[in-house]
Amino acid sequence: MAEKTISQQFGPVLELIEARPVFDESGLTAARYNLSLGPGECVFIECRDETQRSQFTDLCVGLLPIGDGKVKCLGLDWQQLEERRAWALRGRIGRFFSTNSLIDLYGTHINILWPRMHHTRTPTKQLVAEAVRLGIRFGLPGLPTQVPSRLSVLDRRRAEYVRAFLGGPDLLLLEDPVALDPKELYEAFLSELTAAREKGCAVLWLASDRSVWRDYWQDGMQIFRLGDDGLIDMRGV
Amino acid sequence: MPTDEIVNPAADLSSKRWQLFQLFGPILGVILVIGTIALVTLYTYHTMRDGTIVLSRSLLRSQQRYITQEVSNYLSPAASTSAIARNVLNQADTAQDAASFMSIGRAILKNLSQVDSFYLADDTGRFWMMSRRKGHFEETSLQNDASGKSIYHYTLTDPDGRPLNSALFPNDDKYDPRDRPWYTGALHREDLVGKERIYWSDPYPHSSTHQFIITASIAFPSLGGRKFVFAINISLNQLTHFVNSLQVGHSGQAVIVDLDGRVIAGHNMAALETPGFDAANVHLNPDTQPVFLRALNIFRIRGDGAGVVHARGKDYVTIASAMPLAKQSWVLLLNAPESDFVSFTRKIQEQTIYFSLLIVGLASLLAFGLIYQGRRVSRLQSSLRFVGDEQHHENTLLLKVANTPGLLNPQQEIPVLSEVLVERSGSRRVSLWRLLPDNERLLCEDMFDAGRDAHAAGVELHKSSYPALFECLSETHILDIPDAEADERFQGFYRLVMQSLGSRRLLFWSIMEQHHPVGALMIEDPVNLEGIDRFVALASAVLSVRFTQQQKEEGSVEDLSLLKENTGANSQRGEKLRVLKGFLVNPEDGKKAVPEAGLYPRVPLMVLEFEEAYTSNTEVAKQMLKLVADLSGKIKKIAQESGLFSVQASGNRVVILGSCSQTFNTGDALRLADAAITIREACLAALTGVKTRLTFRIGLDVGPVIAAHLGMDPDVFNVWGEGLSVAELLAQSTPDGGQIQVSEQAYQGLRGYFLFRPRGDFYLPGSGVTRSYVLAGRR
Repeated sequence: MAEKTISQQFGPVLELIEARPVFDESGLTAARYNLSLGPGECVFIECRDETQRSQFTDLCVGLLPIGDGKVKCLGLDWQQLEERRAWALRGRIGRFFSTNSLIDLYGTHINILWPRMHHTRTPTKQLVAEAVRLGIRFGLPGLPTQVPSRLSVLDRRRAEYVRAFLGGPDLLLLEDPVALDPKELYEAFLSELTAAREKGCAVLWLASDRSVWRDYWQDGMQIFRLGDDGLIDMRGV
Repeated sequence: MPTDEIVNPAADLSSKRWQLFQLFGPILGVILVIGTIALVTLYTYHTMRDGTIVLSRSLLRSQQRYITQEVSNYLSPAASTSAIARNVLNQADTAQDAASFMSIGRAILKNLSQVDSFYLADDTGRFWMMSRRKGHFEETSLQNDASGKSIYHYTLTDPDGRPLNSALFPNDDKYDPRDRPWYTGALHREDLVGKERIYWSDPYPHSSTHQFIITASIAFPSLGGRKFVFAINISLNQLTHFVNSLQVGHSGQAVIVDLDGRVIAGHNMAALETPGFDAANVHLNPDTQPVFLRALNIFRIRGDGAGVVHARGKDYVTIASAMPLAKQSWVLLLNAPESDFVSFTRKIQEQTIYFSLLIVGLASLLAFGLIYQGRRVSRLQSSLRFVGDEQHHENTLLLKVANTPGLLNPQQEIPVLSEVLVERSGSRRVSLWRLLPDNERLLCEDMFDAGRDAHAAGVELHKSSYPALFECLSETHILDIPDAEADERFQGFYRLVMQSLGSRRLLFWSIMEQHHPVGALMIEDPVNLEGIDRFVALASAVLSVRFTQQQKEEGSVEDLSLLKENTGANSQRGEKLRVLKGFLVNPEDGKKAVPEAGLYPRVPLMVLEFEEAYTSNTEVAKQMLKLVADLSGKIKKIAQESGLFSVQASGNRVVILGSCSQTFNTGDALRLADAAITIREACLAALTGVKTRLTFRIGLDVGPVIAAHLGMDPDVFNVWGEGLSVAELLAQSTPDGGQIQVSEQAYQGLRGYFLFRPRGDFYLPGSGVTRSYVLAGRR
């Protein structure tokens, strides 16, 4: 059993403390970013720029170098973490990319299972069973085996959901993950999201349009806008 | 979080590397010490061995020189006597020469034991010989008599030359000295000078003296113009004795051989004087003398020199050298086992190894001491870290409790309290019980199951059923029950609550307010009890305030008359029920009373669902059928007494409608909720008494349904719709068996009359994020 640190048990899952990205190397404004995301919490960030969304999530997973401040995940500072542990920590994060992130060299099922197979010793049979369950939950007849380009856009998105939710991640980074249509998929997504949060998974939801999460938003949830001025708190606006 | 990660990012490997170093460092140090000692010992051994071998070779060389000198001395009479004979035997008269030969021969034989005999021959075939014969000397001459016949003339003399006996014998075998090898060999060397003039024969056994001899001969002219050949026979028997008597090392040997491996002198010739022994044909034995044979082979290739020969599993130091003063083809071979010289180094080596082992033992002891100390320090550090973490953990938990909004507000649920207690005690479940104002019931306000990460509430314990447990409420200290099933006071509680979880150990703490019990706190299967009393005291203090406040507030809650009017056996509002097929309680009471088909927007209804109700075992099925019959009877009776609209059984579910009218009546919902609690109690009581896995869940909602009459003569009244779906979903998703989960809509109507605890937010398709509540009991 992997041991937990105190911060993992009680501290924020994701923490940006005065984190300022290196301007030259990112499309993200070199502002100071502050964010604290506890277990089970869901934070909405509205951002119309796809590159900025992607860069911000890169910042959260320690892939974007920062000049000042700290970015911590599960209490571990990305900058102080040796590479091997950093990649292992990324294994605890489920991510939904705004651009297609499934590669055509292998079947979709390999795309889905690969991260878990790489980071854990979970038996493949068990992984497949969980992936099938999630696939059915998201409206797939099972675990798709064709290459991703042979799937419809909607089925690719379903497959990406399965990959992001597979293995019970501690943190979900979602870049524009869902649209209001089809309704079944939207509801299944929100249902799984809620279930994941109930298990303590923190969620960072970046979207270009707030209408997709308006129904899901509740009092107390953090909501930001990501722009050239950095992260702006939109609660009460 | 994955439990089987290959790399745990939270684990810092540098500390593990240090721990490994602490463990293996000293061991590595000991191995290094052992290795160094072994290397030094090996180096010393080889150095000493090489030095000893060099020393032993020098020793053997000096011994070889000594032997060579001795052999030269042994054979030296040949050269010196030949020179003397050449100068003395130079008379004009042959008779004088013969007399001189006999005198010289007798003198030499008398003084040099190795000399066996002398020959003298001239070119006319005359022959003289001087030899030993049993302490005397024998003079033999071969000459022609007056008749020209060749005759031997033997004279035996004493050591002073006085004749003792004489005899004449004819030369029957026609012996002619000029045909003998020593004669012809000497003539062949006549023209050479110095020692080269001397001819040496091959060794051969002498037929008359049985001596193994070698003959040296020299030819020279006389004044009379004749040629003489003088020969001296030297016995090799004494050379063999000499060689055999040499001590080479402890157990070494020496041997003189020719280049063909024929032994001249040495151990092989020990039987030299035995009759029949063929001394001329003795060779080195490859089986018994492999070392000499190998040394001889090396000599043939390399010439003189020392070497080491490995044979019979041992190393031998060997020396081979030519015998320059004797025949050029003779070789002196010496060998001695290496162990004769290096045995002392081996002894030193053994002593060194013993000392080394002693040092290694001490070093190992030191290393283990270091490891032990290192482990102790590590453990100490770990325990310090653990204590620090525990304190941090405890502080975090306290902070978590302290930061809970409305901690002391009884209207606000605080699930954090049970969660923190579970976290702190490492237990499987923690439950908080409130003593209701009648002091007759304990109501479970919160029950947190760590394994399922779920809260539950609502179970009631009646004093009449658990009198011993209620007596424990007056205890002022923590009761630690190792096995609740075996403890009479908690047996009932075990069967009702603990058995389903499989827990056995129970911590019971009575919550007091001014020495009066107001509730209880129970912890199942705790693991970490150290310092738990502080947390329990804190929790009980908080709960004491909340429970006391709650009791006060319950005295002034809303008027319960409506509830009383609409519940229990005194209910006047219930409709008269009839029983037809498919219903336990049928809504039809005459065609007029049956509602019209259509949509009913707010109907109070509940779904009672049984789990594990099926078995393939006939006996168990019989018992279960009896239980089901009992339960169905009770449910029907409760429904009838509560005046519910209908009770319809379908499979393992029972759908109960509180009413079915277009206008919502709160009383109908209250009756339904009250009936739900009564049914739950009836079910719990029935299930507690028997050993069964059967359990039940109840979902309650107020929502829209569609009512319809299905079929003709008679038709069947049936309902479906969102309300029923939600009630089913709530029943299926109750946190635990035996609980009643209520929708937000139902909660709105019932909250003033019943006790609830919110379960949390859930996303429901079509409903979005919604809330559900667990109906705990009546106020």
